[in-house]
Amino acid sequence: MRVTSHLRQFLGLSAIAALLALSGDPARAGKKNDTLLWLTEFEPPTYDFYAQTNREGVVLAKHVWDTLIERDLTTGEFKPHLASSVTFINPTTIEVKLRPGVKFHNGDLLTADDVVFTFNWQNDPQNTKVAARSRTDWVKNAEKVDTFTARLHLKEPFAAAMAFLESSVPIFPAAYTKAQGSEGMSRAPVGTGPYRVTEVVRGKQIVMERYKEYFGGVRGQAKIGKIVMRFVPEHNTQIAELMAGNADFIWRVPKDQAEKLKGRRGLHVTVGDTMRYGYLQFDITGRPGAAADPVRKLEVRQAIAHAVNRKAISQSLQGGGTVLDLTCYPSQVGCASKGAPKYDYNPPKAKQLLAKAGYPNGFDVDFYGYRDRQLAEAIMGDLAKVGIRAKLQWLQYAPLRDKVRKGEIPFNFMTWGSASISDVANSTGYFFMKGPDDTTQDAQLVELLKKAGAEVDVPKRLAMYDEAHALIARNAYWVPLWSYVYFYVMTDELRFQPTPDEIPHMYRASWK
Amino acid sequence: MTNPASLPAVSTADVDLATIAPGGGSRRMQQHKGFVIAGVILGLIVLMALAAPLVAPYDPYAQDLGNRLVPPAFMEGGSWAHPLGTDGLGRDYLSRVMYGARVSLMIGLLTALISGLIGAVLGVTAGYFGGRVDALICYVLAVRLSMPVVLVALAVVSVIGGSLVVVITVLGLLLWDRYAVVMRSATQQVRSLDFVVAAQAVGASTPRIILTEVLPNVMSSLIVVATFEVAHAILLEAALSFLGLGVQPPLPSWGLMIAEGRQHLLFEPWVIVIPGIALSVLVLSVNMLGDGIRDLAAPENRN
Amino acid sequence: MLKYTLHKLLVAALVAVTVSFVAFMLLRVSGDLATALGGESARGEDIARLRAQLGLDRPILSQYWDWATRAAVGDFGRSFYYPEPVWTLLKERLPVTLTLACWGLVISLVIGIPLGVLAALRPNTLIDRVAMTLAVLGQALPTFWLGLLLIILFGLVLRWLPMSGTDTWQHFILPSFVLGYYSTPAVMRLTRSGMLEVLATDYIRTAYSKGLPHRTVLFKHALRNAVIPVVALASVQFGLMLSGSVVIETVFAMQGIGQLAWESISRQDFPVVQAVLLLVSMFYVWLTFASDLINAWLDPRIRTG
Repeated sequence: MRVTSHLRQFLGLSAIAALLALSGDPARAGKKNDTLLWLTEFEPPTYDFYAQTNREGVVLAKHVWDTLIERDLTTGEFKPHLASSVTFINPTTIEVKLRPGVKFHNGDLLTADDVVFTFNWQNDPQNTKVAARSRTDWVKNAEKVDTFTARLHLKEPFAAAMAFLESSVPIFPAAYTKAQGSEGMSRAPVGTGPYRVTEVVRGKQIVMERYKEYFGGVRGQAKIGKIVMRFVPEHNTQIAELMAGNADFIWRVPKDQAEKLKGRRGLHVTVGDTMRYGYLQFDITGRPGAAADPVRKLEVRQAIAHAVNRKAISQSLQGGGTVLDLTCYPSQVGCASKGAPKYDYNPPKAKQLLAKAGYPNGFDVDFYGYRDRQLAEAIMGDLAKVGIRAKLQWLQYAPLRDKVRKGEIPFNFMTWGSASISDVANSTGYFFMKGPDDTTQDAQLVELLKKAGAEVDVPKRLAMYDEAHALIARNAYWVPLWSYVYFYVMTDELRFQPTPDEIPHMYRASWK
Repeated sequence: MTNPASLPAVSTADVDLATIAPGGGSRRMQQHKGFVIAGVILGLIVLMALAAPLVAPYDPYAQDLGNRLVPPAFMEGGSWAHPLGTDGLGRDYLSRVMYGARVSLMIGLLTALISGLIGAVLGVTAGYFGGRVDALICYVLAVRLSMPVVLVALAVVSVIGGSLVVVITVLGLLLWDRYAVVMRSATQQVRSLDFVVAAQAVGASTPRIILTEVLPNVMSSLIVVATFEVAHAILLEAALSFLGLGVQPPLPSWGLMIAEGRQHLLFEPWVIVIPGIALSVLVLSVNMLGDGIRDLAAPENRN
Repeated sequence: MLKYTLHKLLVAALVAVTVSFVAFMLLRVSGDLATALGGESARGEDIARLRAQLGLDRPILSQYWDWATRAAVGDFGRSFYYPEPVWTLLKERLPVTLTLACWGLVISLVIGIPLGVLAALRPNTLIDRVAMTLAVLGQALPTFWLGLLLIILFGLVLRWLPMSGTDTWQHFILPSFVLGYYSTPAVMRLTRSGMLEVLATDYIRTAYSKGLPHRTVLFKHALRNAVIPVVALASVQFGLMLSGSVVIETVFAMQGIGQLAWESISRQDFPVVQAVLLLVSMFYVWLTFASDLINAWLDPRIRTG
């Protein structure tokens, strides 16, 4: 028995630290070969952008395809990209004029046919491969005007159209996609983007090379010659490979590990805020199936908002992050409210509110979550301090969302990335407009958001969102928590700037 | 399906009941020694679990975010305020280890109880009645054995959500195979013995015979299997926790603590080593206890 | 022998059918599955469409019948997550897991049998205890921990072996070792007890009394007999390894069916989970059937008794 524990002590306590100290300075091949080796957790199920919703798939799409307009990552403005102009000719018609002379990776010239095809193919009910129709289904149909002009006919006025065009609708080559189908596109993706896919090895990696004839646009020419994205699901393994010099870039590294990597020679650690945010959601609908829980009382929800020390949790466990007061990410269009009350960290006030609600001794409640267990536990710790005894119920994402939609879950901790769409239409507008995930069903709010969603006049629209957010905050329908922070660890020969859209834009990166 | 060789006797390999090692008196003493050591260690663990509320220096749930990942006292940077350091949420690790013993032991014991009950009923029934009943039970057993435990447990728990009750129930419903195999062959041996035949001859009822004649004589085998299954269940819970589907925090089980330590493995290995040692010691001593009971309870198999 | 074989075959077939039914039901009783498919930004109508498309709105027994009759000819339907048919996915990933399991098995035998023999020859000595401790430790060490430790030692510090991936045979060394080490205790215990039993038989005593050298008796007579049950165990261990490589495949970034199964479970990709469950179960049924026949062939008492 003693032998055993000694052995384990030796193996664990001394060995790993000693071994890490022993590992020398790796010779990296990245810069020399002009090849960036990027390790990431998940392989997208398919490389056809529209047939999946995986984060890596969204990231790759930014490198392989282009969108009609693009957000300037420094100023936040929308600028024409594949298009030379995108204009509303009336509230339900958008006219797109394309930049002439843009070529797909296979040599095809980009024309209005490709734009028309992309929308109509994704909106075709016969196309069963589409993973999320919401990306394109705000457009009723697309039509060709001339070789470089197309018109998009909207179902109804849609104020967030530009944000959707920017993030959700990469333009596919019509002829190639028709011939190859979704499977062909996945085996050998073809786009107009700054990188051209040269090799797809399922289960292992995807290889991209700089597209020499890239038109540039808002994104500009790529600087690194070759990018290899390899799939390694375990973080510890990723870190070991990076330390050994077998990789150049890893991301979404847990904070504690990233901080330990900070001082290491040859490595550079950088941190960036993202649009993904965490929130506490309450089911207060009282629809059949919805549990009659304490959280249906306003004071209880307000007490919870006062009880959780969002700043401390986010700082010490995430190493940063913006504390949020509204149900959206601050840089999203419409994410502002002068009238919304703020809930500061104030346990005594939380206790008072609980007493007022009839729970002077607190209560027991089931608390559901699906990721970031440590954050969930920290929230529970704070709730316990004011007497709310939360019991964690851990589920996978899909079954949890399923239960939320059925009204079986009174109180949960979830996260939302707005599909990288920089408009509240896909955050506040998604959750409080009577959609499947609306656990509030406030008729006044639904009405307000519907109007705002269709309002093309910007100041009027912003005023409506201001009011909507104030309404949500007054009723404490949600407790918005914090934005997520990503740590990126890379070779110190790489120049890389993180952006909040959860997408590392490697065409902007370069070797030092 | 009716002969024992066709049963995956191999799944009882760890228990190797049928082949009690000969080796003379010294071996028995040795086994005895292992048995005593294991017993003492187990006793200490049980005592720690029971007395946790009295002896734990801190509330195992109390978080202190300003005091995260303090190393244990015997390491650089540690202090005796937290002899085993603190975890990622600043909770006292020693207190969590103490409370964790309760959860891990409870999982082991309750799972062994549920699976033991199922396995014993099936095994004794099959062994006592033989014939078609035996064939049917062997068939059920074959079905159960061909389903991979880890995958089935993962699939079920992922759908209904992990919790102490769910984990115990699922493991209890899955881990009865060894009991059934061992009980079946032990009962087969016992039922042909004189006293059972005699009881049948005087017209004792079947339940009575099973309860008063058969069961007491197969009890020792049952207990031996149970010790192995306790260890098995504790380890399986650790594996489920590693994949995020074991008992739910803040409840500390040793398996869960190992799983939570995963992201500190490279740079703060003690976070994972401490519960790891605790778990290994527990599993080893439960196994040794089983070995010891087997040797002590089966003297007829010795030289 | 023919009658015995037919009987075994019938039982195996029955077990196979039952397992398929259990595997199917186990995952279908859990409520609505279509939500799993759309991902984060799919909406209600996407999900309803998917449900109809996948036939999830039909009675469960008719779903089973369809699934089972197709599965029997290798058609496991489509994955909810991947665009490919499930069978294509399995075909892509099975070689990795099979290779891993084969090597794992070899390693567990190479470690387990000598340790078992050693322990049996010197029962209750230090050797016995150490062998037993090492073997049991194999089960008490979390696999991911052992795996990562080896990655750091052999990949990062010594730079002898690659850390992750499946490109060359060198990539299989570390994961096979971890997988094999985990099932060593069973092999070791069985060898030990088998050896002890055989060594105590008259037959071995006779061999010794005839003046045969220790080495000859040990390897030619004792080990050969003691190893028979180990061979049966090996076939079953192989089946267990197929499903036991979940964690190892994740740590070493190997895209085998273990990782596929685990990821599919988290995504509620039921066609894949069912197919993997069924496949692993079938391997087990088949291997038990084969080892039954081998046993019967080795030991005539079984087939007549």
